[in-house]
Amino acid sequence: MKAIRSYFKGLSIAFRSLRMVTWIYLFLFVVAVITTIPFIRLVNDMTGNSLLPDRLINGFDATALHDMLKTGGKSLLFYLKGWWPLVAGFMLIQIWFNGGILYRVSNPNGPFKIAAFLRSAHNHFWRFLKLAVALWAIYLLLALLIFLPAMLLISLKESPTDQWIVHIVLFSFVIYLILVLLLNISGDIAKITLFNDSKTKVVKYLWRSIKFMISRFFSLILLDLMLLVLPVLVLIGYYLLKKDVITDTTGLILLFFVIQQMLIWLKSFFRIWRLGSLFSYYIRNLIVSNS
Amino acid sequence: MRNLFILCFFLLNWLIAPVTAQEILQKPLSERLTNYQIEASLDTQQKLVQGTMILTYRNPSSDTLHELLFHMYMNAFRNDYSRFFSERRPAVRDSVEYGYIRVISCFVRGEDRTQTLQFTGTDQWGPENPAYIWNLEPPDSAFTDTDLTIMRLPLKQLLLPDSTISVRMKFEVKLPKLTSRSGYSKDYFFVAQWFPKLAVYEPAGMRGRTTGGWNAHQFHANSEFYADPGTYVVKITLPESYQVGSCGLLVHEQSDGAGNKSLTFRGEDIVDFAWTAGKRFMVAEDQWQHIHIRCLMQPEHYRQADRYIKAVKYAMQYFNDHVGTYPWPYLTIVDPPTSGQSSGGMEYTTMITTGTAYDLPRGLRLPEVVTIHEFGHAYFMGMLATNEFEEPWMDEGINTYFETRIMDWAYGEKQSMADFPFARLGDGEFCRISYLDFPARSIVPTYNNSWSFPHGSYGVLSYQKPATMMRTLERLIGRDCMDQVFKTYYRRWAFKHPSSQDFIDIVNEVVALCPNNLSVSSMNWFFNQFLFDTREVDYRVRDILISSEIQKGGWFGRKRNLSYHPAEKHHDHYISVVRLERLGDGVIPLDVMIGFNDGTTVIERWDGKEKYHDFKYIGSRKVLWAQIDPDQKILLDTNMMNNSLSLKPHRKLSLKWGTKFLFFIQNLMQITAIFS
Repeated sequence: MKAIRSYFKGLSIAFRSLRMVTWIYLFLFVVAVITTIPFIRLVNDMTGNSLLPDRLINGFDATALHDMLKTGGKSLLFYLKGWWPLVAGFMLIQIWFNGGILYRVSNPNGPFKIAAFLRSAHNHFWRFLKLAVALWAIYLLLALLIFLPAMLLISLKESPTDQWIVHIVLFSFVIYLILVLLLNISGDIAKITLFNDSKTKVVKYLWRSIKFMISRFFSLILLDLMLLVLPVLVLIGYYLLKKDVITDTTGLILLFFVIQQMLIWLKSFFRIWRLGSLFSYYIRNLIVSNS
Repeated sequence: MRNLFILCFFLLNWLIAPVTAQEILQKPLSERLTNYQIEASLDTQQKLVQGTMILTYRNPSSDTLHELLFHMYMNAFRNDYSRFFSERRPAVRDSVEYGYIRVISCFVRGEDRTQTLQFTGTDQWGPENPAYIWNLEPPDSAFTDTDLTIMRLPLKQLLLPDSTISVRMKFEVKLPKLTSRSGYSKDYFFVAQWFPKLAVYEPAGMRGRTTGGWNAHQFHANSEFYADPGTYVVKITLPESYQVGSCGLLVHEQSDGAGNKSLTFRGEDIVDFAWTAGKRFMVAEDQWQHIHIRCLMQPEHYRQADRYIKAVKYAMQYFNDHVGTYPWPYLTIVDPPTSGQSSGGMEYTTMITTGTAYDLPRGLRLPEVVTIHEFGHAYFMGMLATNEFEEPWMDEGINTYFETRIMDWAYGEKQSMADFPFARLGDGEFCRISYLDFPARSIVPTYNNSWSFPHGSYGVLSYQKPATMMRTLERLIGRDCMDQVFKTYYRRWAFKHPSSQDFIDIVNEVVALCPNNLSVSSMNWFFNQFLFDTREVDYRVRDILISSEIQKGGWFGRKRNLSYHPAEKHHDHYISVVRLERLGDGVIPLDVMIGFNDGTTVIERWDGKEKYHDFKYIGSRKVLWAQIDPDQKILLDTNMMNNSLSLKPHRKLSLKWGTKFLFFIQNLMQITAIFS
């Protein structure tokens, strides 16, 4: 019941934070546009005045793509090789957002104030950065603990069939995915507790969150699965819509651009919903344990 | 001893006579110069094959033969000094388990000739290793530091023209652990190139020879096929728990009651005989017209048997319609296990090996490509029995060309090899891309010996480049004309040994009769540039120049009647110049499509010979764009981006890709949010 109540409470918080959702969406949109402009320039340089790239309007054309990349692909590859700092930068932005989002989630009533959002984001940045680093270290450790034995198992077997190899790899991957999912829930709860208690001891709170997650395992898993249903359905809907449409006219390209932006906005909404639900769930459990 | 041999010989003949009499084909398709009767037993524990063989050979030439040459190709795996290992070594794993073939006895016309056998070499290793002759049993026979894949049998009694000789050999084969083509892996055996096989005697006139002689090459990393079509009757004895497939049709099966069985296979008009045995094979069967298709599948791949069968049926249909009939009533497809994948992707005329992976996505059509390719070798090498060593393009190149045709026909031109929502790739496209992306693509001509391609260029220059070349030729002369070429080639040369020149002669003969806009009676210019030379094609539209037509100004008239007319622009009259350039050294006649501002287009013809060419238009319309080779006929063109030029840049692609990239970046941000 707690899971269901928290689910709807999270939805209510998200609805009351629409301005924040839009603000986050717009902020990230501007960052994305700044990142995209050099890409568009490179594509323009690459295509030049040739008619061959027009073949790519109607879908994937390996010949056209190959010849295009062969003449101008080096600069594009140089640009794409810079993905690592880009991803790191995005991650820092998202870590920074966490403090602001949690401030709003904990005080959903009243108007959204950007100044308060930014202040909270700034105040909580370092502790959330430490938490992210700790989580990444655990992800890596888990990967080593799961995939190394799997690889050892594969290499030790004489003449293994490909079916056996695939099953071992898949099994390891599923186990890893489940553990990452559970750790992810624990990480979100750790953020909530660090914020709620105004503490900075990241490892201690992460450990407490893991214990909290284990003690309420089924209830939290139910909540997490419920929170996953709608985003997954929206994604499926988008890909079904896109599957049979060839965006070969300017009108269609722009129409799909609008749909894509709606989807991105929704994803921001779902993120607030999720954090709101987990926050609500944590507070409910806190009240019960205190009483 | 001699009497005993004669007795054994007749006894063996008497025993297998009922079996050998069962014919598969209604009439011989080839001259059947070579005929083998082999009895072999497989020791699955020791990985040994013990065999006896009776070869009968008819001398087809007007020459008197002094010797016979045999392929002893299992010796390619004998030690690191073999030509095969020296060419391939870096790619082979360190844990090689070697194999060999040795002749235990050899009788010719009842006389023991074992001690006269010698090894020889024909393909030079380099200046320090000329051709050599080496005794079969030298003092240090266990370790000889040279290649032992060609064996010479000097004849005491010469073989006269049109006369027949019979040779009886007892041999032993130690199968290597599978690293390439032939050997074993656990309980899977693939036994190819396993018996002493006669080389081809080429009389004067055949394949451009001026004098008659044996054509025998050592076993190379890149080639192994050149033989006369003949009949094979092969009896294989092995444990009953093994499933067997071979190049022959099963005509007799017998169990000894002690856990072993003997299977007798008969193959007719085939150039080689290979077989496989495995404990885990599951059999899937189907039928296409007169051909029984039998798939020997690994259990974990059994669900994919339909992929092989469907692909091979497409190939059968296509070859039947566009080249000629597949005459044999059977085909065996072998799906090797993961640990035996190195025997995959091989061709033995009526038995092919393919390869797949567990639950391989159906959008990735590698099993289909391999199946169609290997089946195609039944035509290009099997029936049209070319010399893979000396003219690999006629074997692999022409076959790859047909593979692309069949794949593109069966699965779609733009998605025949890979078909996913995010990316597609046609087999023909793959060939062109592989050719263009290979750095050493112009290092040597495609017409070359298989072992003479430097810098790892064999694959691209023997498969993908000739396939792209043939696809270009097809587009130049027309598909109907190309089909006529191959039908004629098949009709004239099936079960014979054609050369490149024989094929080119047919192209020239057919092209002269075909309607096409090339206005040529010979395609020698094409083959001279792209087969025998390393020419590359690259044409470009360099510029489009537009200017208003100017009425010429100045002083006009005579003496007293001089009048001045200023130069004036005709604002509704334009001079448009389309400038074309030839950047490559290859020359191909081509079409140029030119588009005007009033929506009209014209197609111009350029012979492509000069380094540049201008097309000029004067009138009220002006040129907006120009495109060389608008139908993409010239697939050999190394850069299609510069084949067209538009005065107005098209920006729709950057809009489409820009929005896609933006969406991708936004999604990336959302994903990072999950882990932060």
